[in-house]
Amino acid sequence: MSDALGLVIAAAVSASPDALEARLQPEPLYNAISIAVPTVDGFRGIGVGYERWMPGRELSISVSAHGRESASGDYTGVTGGVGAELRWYWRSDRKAWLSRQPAGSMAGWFAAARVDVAIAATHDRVSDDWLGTAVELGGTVSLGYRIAPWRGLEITPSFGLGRRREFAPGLPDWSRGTLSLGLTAGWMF
Amino acid sequence: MPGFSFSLLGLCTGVLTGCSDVVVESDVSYDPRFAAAKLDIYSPPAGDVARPAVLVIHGGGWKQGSRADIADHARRFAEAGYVAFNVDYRLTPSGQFPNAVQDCVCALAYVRANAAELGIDPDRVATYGYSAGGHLASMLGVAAGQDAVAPDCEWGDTGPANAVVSGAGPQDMGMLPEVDAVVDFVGGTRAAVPELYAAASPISYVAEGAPPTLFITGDADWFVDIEQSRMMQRALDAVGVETRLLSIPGGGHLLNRGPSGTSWDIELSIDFLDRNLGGGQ
Repeated sequence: MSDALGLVIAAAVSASPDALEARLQPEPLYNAISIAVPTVDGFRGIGVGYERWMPGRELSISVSAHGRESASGDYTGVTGGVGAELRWYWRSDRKAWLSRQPAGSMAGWFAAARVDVAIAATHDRVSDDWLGTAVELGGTVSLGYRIAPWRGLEITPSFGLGRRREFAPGLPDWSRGTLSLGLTAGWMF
Repeated sequence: MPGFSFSLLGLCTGVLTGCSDVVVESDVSYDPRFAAAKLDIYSPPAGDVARPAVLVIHGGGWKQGSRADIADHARRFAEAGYVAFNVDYRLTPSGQFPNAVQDCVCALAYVRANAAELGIDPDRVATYGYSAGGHLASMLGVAAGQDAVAPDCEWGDTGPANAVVSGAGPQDMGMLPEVDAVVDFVGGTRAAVPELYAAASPISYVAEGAPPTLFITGDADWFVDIEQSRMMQRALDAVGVETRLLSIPGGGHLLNRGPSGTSWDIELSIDFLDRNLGGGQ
């Protein structure tokens, strides 16, 4: 038996069960990279995000970008956008259900506020005209739950209510309410 | 923390909320015989010349839904300078073919018969609909004026619409899955009443002089296959009609606005109507 292993066994024998569990718990992970699952249908789009954990405040901040083919047939269209989101994991002081991550991680219930900007450009292939570029600003508040069932894997469904305002060439601005269902999958590290 | 969230929400709402000059007149009856035969009128500020108009027709499998479902589309058209008429029509069972189509033809006749009072140009009236509404919009483009769907309402019959935007609209009823909504609308199964399936299909009425038509459809639509729009487009192209097909990659029957959630398909519709009706401004 090595000296190191002997020390571990001695410490384990002398420590209380709670202290032992605390010693064996992994550290919270501070970063996550994810993809928005619905965007990858047929490889015609992708949405990716990066999230940074600020455990002392129970907050995380994330940035994301997406792009996709948005029109085909007699038109060609592409849409791209970026967004930023602030998440509050208000129960992060306890270990989340269906999570392998320790208490103090960015897992479990969260509330979020998000802002987005997107640009869509469309081309009429028949008349060979560019139909202009529409810009969309959006704000969303959402509620979600992150599970982290295996190592760094995370799966995060969410539901949100928002408001979007669109700026299209030659048209008055337009705003409308939105409902959104989100699903991301990624890796925490 | 809650205070912070509400402040951010308020800021976002303040930035994102706009004002509109659109005037809405609700619950206008276009055929007093039927309680369902009502429409809402979305009018832009009055201009010096008669406005183009759009009949906005909701979906719901001919058996459910109402004009409230598509009110934001009507408002968007009005903001773009069109007088938008957001139409309800009889639903099944009382809306069984041809009744729902006749109601919509009657609404088109009402709009044209009252053009001066409504401030619209009767020769620039388009139709816009989604799903069952897309079917009815197409029917108004190719079948209005045909005996099979002629209404007997006080406004009489009228000719075809002057432009059509058909979103995920069935063009050949025989190609639809034979679900209850289809059977109830047509009045029987394909095997039992093949002549009614033909009579209820826009593609049966394609002829020279049909109006310019824009098709909008998701290429993953499980209910109204994109081939329906392609087939109708080919038929219209063959008789020299101006057409466009907007296919939304990955879009299904219930997600016509596209995966990004944007509504630029409406803006594209307005662009199409501007080009073919002379513009709403």
